[in-house]
Amino acid sequence: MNKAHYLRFVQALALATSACSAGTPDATQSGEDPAASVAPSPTEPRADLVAPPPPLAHEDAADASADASDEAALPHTSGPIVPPESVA
Amino acid sequence: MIELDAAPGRTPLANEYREIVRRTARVGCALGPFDSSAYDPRSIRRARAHWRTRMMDEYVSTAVYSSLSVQLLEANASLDTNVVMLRMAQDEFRHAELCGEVARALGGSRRARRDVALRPIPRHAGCSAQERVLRNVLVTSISEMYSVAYFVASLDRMTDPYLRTVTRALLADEILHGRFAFHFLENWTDWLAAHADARASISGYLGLAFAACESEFVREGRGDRGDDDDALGLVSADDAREIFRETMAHAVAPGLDRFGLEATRAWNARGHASKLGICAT
Repeated sequence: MNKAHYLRFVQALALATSACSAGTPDATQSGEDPAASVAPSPTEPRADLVAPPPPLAHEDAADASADASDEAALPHTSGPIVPPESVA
Repeated sequence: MIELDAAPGRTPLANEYREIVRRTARVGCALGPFDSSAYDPRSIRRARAHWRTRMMDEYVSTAVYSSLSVQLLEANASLDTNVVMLRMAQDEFRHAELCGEVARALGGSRRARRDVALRPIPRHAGCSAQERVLRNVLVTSISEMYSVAYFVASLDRMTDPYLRTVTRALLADEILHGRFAFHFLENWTDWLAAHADARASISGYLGLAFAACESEFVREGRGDRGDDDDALGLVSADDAREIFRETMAHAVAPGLDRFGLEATRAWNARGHASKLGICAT
């Protein structure tokens, strides 16, 4: 695992907010970092939304119960969690 | 019961939605075909489960951001802050649609249901409106900083071009979501400086916040691995645990310490907070 890669990335996010606020390029927009591909491109067409790919023949044909079991075993994947309630 | 069909229709409202998506997308997301024949079926199945779970996680989590908008109003946060919060709520809906598209490409369905009741975000009895929203905002960014780290680690492994396109689109938004609390703290530096009691109280709460996030995001055990898990960006349970802990210890906590919060101490004490049974997960 390229631990240094992601760690450098998130450290830059956490520690360089001032620079980001001032519009200074940061680690999210340089080099071969994955975020190099994150540069805004508002004019690029969202072809997937304009013309969604046709459904595959096997859509909905997956083994639903096996999938449900796989999904139930997974932790929270992304999106903010509901904050925990404070202790009185 | 929360039900989702992540395929927008062809109504006027759906057209309006597409226009919003077009104007707010940070990166292009033109998807080519996904070649399922190139990969181990076990890996495909695991990836499908992952993206379907992510589809619902993203969809449901929009309620956290939209609820936070109300608490930002109560705390007299700036207008721009609240607009960005609502943008992030919209992002979660858009992400659900994208994840549904991936689930379909992987042979699954964009329709799902989850038997959960949406929990309201806490009001933290006894806290001021400002401290209340700060506590909750911090939890969301702790969550999303892990998502950023996870997506970067996933991209490190992922070779499939279709999945790389979608993952980069999600990552583009997660960066904002992860940063939000840090920007918010920058704006509230004066308030924090003037409220030492709130800084101490928030620092204490962070132990609970870290414990709750760890409980939600980390699973023990190794789990099965398919031959093409790396190509599809599936991060092993071992690596995911390490990513979470390294990100919290070496990125998030030091970043929060910078604002006068005792986040590193809270991170190290999270086990104690968890033993008190105060995780709301």
